Amino acid sequence: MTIEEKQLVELLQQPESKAKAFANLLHTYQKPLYYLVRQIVLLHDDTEDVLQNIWIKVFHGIDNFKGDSKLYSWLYRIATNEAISFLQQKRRKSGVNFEDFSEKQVSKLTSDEYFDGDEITIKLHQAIAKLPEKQQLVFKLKYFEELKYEEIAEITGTSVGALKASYHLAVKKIEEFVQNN
Amino acid sequence: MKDFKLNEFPKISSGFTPTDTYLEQLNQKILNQLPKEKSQPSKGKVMRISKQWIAVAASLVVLFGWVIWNQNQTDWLENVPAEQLVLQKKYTHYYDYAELLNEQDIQKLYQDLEIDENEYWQDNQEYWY
Repeated sequence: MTIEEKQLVELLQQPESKAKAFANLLHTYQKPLYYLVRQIVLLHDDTEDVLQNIWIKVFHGIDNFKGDSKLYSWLYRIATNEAISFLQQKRRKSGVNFEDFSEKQVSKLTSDEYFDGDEITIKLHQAIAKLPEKQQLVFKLKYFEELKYEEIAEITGTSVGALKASYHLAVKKIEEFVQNN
Repeated sequence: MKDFKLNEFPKISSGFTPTDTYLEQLNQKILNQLPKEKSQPSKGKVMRISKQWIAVAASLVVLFGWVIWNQNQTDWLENVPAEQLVLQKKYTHYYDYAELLNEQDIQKLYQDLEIDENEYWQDNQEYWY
């Protein structure tokens, strides 16, 4: 952790300074977490719901944060897990399989809030929806969020080698889909 | 599209465009939902302690209130002339009279007030033991 991060964590873990420090944390990371969560859940309303859950967990969990990882890695891990859990729950309630569910989510994108993607963007999302769950996550974190493999490894708990292989396969499948559609 | 190569194609955006205004509103919404933390024992703990003390205090108040009320009643009985008590039929319970007056005094009281003892107690027999 950087010195600034350490100082911020100290402030977050003291009752008298927690509120102000938390507001600071929120302002700093809300935008990147919005993008991260939305990559996973796709729709704006779902993103907002998940973000609220995330920040409540962060607020309560920060007291137990030991500093074993970087603060942003810890935040991203919570955000990713929360988004995936939300999506899994939503898919279970819908009663459809993962691929059909993903395609259905993409079909709602064009009319969704805070989305202005063009035809190629939609095509790319459609291609991603065809990928297995873990490949989707790796591709989105690498391609859209431009995270390093080491950072994705810290978030997902997967080895860098496995991530590289997963991304390579994902790219191949996307290219094939776009060519054929 | 033939031979599409993702890494040769210009970076495709995700298409997501949350505005700064929206994000700021979301921040405020989240901050408003958070519990207010204080640098003292947790609210729950304070509430639990307070409730116990309130219960103890309330019990003591009731107990003392009963004692004082009882004492007042006795004091009142002692201060009110016996004749008045009889006339008012306030404390017609035999036990109450026994505390204030001895048997002789009670008999004299009835005579003075020209109260027929039997009739009196009959009227008030619901107060007998």
